[in-house]
Amino acid sequence: MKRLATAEEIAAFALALASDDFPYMTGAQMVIDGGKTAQAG
Amino acid sequence: MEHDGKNSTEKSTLNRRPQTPFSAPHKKRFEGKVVLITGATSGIGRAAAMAFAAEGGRVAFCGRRENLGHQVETEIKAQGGEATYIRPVVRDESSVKEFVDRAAHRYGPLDVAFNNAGITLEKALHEYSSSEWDDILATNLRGVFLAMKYEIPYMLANGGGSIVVTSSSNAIATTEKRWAYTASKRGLVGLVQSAALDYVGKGIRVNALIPGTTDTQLVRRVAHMGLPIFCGERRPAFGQVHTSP
Repeated sequence: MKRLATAEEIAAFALALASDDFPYMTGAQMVIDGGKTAQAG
Repeated sequence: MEHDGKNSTEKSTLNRRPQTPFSAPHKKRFEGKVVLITGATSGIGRAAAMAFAAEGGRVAFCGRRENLGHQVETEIKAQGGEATYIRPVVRDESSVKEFVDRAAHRYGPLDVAFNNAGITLEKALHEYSSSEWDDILATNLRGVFLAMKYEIPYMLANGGGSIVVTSSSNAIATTEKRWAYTASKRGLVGLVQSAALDYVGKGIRVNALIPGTTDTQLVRRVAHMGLPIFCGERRPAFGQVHTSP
């Protein structure tokens, strides 16, 4: 993505991880980077 | 993915910056819950503090810059939220313990911890002093260990909890001069994985948040100065440690 993340976008994801919405999720590495680490070169 | 020519519309929507997403939360997932956040005087931590409070969380947070800490607390209260700024030194064991104890004393047993504080310093490996290396690791890696060491007993006593640790996309793919930061953030992934297993069946979940580069005041300032972009909040001079807690 041709822009940086906003702090609010990242925080929203942190809240989702912290919430009780995903009780089966633990030890996970949750990437939210606009495709940055998916891109080669 | 749509097949009717909507791709360009989707793309422009994705690239548009969101507008104040927390002004009207549609649900209150953290009503009455006690939330601890480290490094919340600006950036991701600050945004999280605002958002947790907007969803009913009682937020105890720390950060080195007291004026900003009080500002964030005031702002949250002005919006009808509940928050307390507690100034600790994240890398200092007794003050980390004091932060967690004071938060629990103020609000009750902990439900959520967002261990987010981190610092960085960018220069080539051979130019680093061993004390600079110690600084980065002490805050980014040892600081998270210390926070969790004192948060978890409260969660165990409370029947469970949820811990989120801020790692970085640098833990997956990085760039030059970020090797200490990268090592610490990749270290956090290992910490999270193994610690998560320690508490499976005990109601405590531990997950790593891996954000890409995020637009904070500091990142904008540094980009403007032509320096490499890093995650943090203080405006550093060349060769100084960049701090965010």
